[in-house]
Amino acid sequence: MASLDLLEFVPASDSSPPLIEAVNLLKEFGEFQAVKGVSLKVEAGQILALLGHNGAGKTTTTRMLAAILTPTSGQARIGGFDTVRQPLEVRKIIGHLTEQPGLYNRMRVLEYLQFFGELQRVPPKLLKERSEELLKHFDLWDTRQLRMGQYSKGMRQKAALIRALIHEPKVLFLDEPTSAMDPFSARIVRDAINDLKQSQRAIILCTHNLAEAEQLADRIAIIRKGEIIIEGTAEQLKQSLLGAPHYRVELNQPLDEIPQAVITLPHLKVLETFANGFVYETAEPAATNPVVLKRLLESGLSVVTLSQVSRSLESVYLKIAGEGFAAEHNRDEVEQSMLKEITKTSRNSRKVGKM
Amino acid sequence: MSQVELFPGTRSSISRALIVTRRELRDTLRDWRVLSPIITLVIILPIILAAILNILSPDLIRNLGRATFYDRLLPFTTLAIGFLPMSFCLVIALETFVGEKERNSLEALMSAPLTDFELFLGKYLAATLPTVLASIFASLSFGLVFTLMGQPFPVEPGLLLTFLALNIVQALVMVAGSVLVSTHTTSVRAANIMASFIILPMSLCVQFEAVLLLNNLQIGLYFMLLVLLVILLLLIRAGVKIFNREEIIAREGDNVSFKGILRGFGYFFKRTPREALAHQKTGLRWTPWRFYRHDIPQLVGLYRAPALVVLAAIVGGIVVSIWVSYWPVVQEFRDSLNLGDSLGGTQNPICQPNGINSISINGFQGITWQGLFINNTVSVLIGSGLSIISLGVAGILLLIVSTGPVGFVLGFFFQLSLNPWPLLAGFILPHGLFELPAAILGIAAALKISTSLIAPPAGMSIGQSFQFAIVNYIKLLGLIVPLLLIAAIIEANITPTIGCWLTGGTV
Repeated sequence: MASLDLLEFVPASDSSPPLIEAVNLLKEFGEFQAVKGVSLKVEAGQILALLGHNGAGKTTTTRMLAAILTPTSGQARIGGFDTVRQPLEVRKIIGHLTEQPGLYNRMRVLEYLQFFGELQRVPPKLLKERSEELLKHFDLWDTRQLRMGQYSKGMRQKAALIRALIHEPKVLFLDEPTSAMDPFSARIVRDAINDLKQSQRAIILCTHNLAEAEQLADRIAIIRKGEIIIEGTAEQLKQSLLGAPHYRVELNQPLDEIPQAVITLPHLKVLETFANGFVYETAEPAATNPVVLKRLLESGLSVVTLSQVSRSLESVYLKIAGEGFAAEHNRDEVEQSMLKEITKTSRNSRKVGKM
Repeated sequence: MSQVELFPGTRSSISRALIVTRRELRDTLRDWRVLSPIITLVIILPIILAAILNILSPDLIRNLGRATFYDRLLPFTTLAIGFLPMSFCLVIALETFVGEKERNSLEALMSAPLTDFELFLGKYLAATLPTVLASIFASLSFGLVFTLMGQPFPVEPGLLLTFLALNIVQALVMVAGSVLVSTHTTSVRAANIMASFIILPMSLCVQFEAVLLLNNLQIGLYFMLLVLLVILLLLIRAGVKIFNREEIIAREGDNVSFKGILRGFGYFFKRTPREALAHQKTGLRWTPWRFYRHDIPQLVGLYRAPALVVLAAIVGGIVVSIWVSYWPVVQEFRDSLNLGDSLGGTQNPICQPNGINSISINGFQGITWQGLFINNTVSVLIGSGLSIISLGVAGILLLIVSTGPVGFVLGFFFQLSLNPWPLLAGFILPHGLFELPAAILGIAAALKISTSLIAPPAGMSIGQSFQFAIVNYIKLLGLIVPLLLIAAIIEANITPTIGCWLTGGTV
């Protein structure tokens, strides 16, 4: 798949300020605090993924950054422009893919792009070229004669994404960019997002797709009840929430007992043993793993594999979300609902067994 | 040489607004649910109506008379047929914002570099053009079709222009009202329900126009045009001022919560006006001391401008009354009353023995403070009520009517070379010092209630602004009522003595 040639490379100097910067953003709707003191920074060429439940505050945060909502307090600057004092400048340099594509159903996609391109003051010739290029890239060119009301959900999502890109924005806010897309289209969009990152755009990606966040984002922020409760790279989040990485050793023979020379190694903790191997945890894999291999060989054991046990971002998210859920609800209620769920499941399995 | 712009940025603003307008119009013209009724109303209905009137014209002329048919019925039909398409075109205006919100396309539009004014103007023009054009086209197509049937054009050119102007302004008013509704509702359904508040008064307008036309009172039509223009300006100002993209995006429900409403009132009662305007938490606990030390002085300061407007209207009313008192017809009336002696004071009934006891106010015999107090309080409350529903106009008119006679009296004094000041200083000043500020403040606070819907303070929604103004009015009653009480006591017990003494009479 060709990359997005039209999206020019924008060099970023080391001294340039972050393209997205928010300090202590707070948003109140009456007495309800939707966002409570969110601070974040995204440099050029970076993607920050915002993860959180529905209603956690992701959309309100991006709306404040897009200068659609005014923060109750705090400050945000996009490309150096203040979102409250210079909203028009902000809106000129951002591309905002909203959660719902919300197209004009009676329009054709070229008319739609022309409309937003004109609002963004894209010169007509360039607008035409860019529309064609993007529509071809996202596989919508052949459907350009259809009214957008006839588009499938995935096509609508792609049309909305093209609209957000039509003026070559420096900053992108993408809310669920691949939701409702088939795997092939989702792949095209993910590749496009990667290309945009390479061309030094700063991107905030709001998503429920944890694999996508892990794959695309440089950093991930988990937002709960309007607050960013943790932020870092996927690895940092896993480390801080799930502990040190786990490694699995498989031998080519049954293992009666783990050699003492291995067990006594510093920074190593055996977690589990099985017929021909074991699982251990170490916070210092660079130092520990070669020694483990050496000691096993010295003990006459042949190692088939030594691999890191993969731990998904989903585990991190569920751990945090689970903690949040338990904290938000009465423990008894949680236990009761779990009990009900277990009873229902066992009843269903009994029914299946009888069939 | 570069061209100097009168208003920098205006041209680019209008050009961006027109991008929005073009898109909206294109969308409208592709919607058969809007197009088919418009085509029916601007082409098919006028043809049918013209044909019917043409066929029935001999009978109608015989039964109604030639003058009634040509000078009344045909002009009114031309006017009414221009009104019909407007109500259908309101669908477009009602959908402008809330329709986009419902289709989830509004957020993308709001992310584009458009100012609130550009967005509002673009949408307003898009909703206005079909409405205005449909109205003009319907009136003209009726006239032309009727003429093509061998009849004279149904309206004379001057009246046709008045009709077109009336219908255009009515269309603009209806669209401005609808766009306002559209920015403050959360669903097209809710907007359609609210539309009756626009269609009903406008239908009454058309009925009133019919009455004027059928009675050959064309001057009334010009007056209506003027009133509608004022309403239009107010609605557009309100539309631009209270257009709040944040509220449009964030508003999620139209549910009525009585608890919420009560909480809102409580919020404003607990805070001083300044705290409420600054959205601050309440500092001082509510006590009568805080109320009279902070709330009331702040409110008087806050309402200085509307109070000055009311005062200026009263002064203007008095000046106009003085001027009117010089009209020959009024002078003849003055002479017929033979006022010379009574204006001198010696024959003032109040200064006659038992004169006061012959007067009855609110069931109280004689000039009693109870009767005066009830009378004045009820007057201020009625004036306030009228002000709320008439943007202050009726309340101010009521005050002018009450104070206008002072102007006539002054005029008569000047004409008769008498000194008016003892009469004014004696019979008006003592209690007027308390009564007049109370009345002015009451009407000014009521005026603020009605304007609260047009121009809410920064950071307040329309609902909050309305609640704030009502709470302020209620709080001000804490000053107005005591002032009226003091005024009534003075007027009953002190004013007659001072007045009669100054004017040479005795009580």
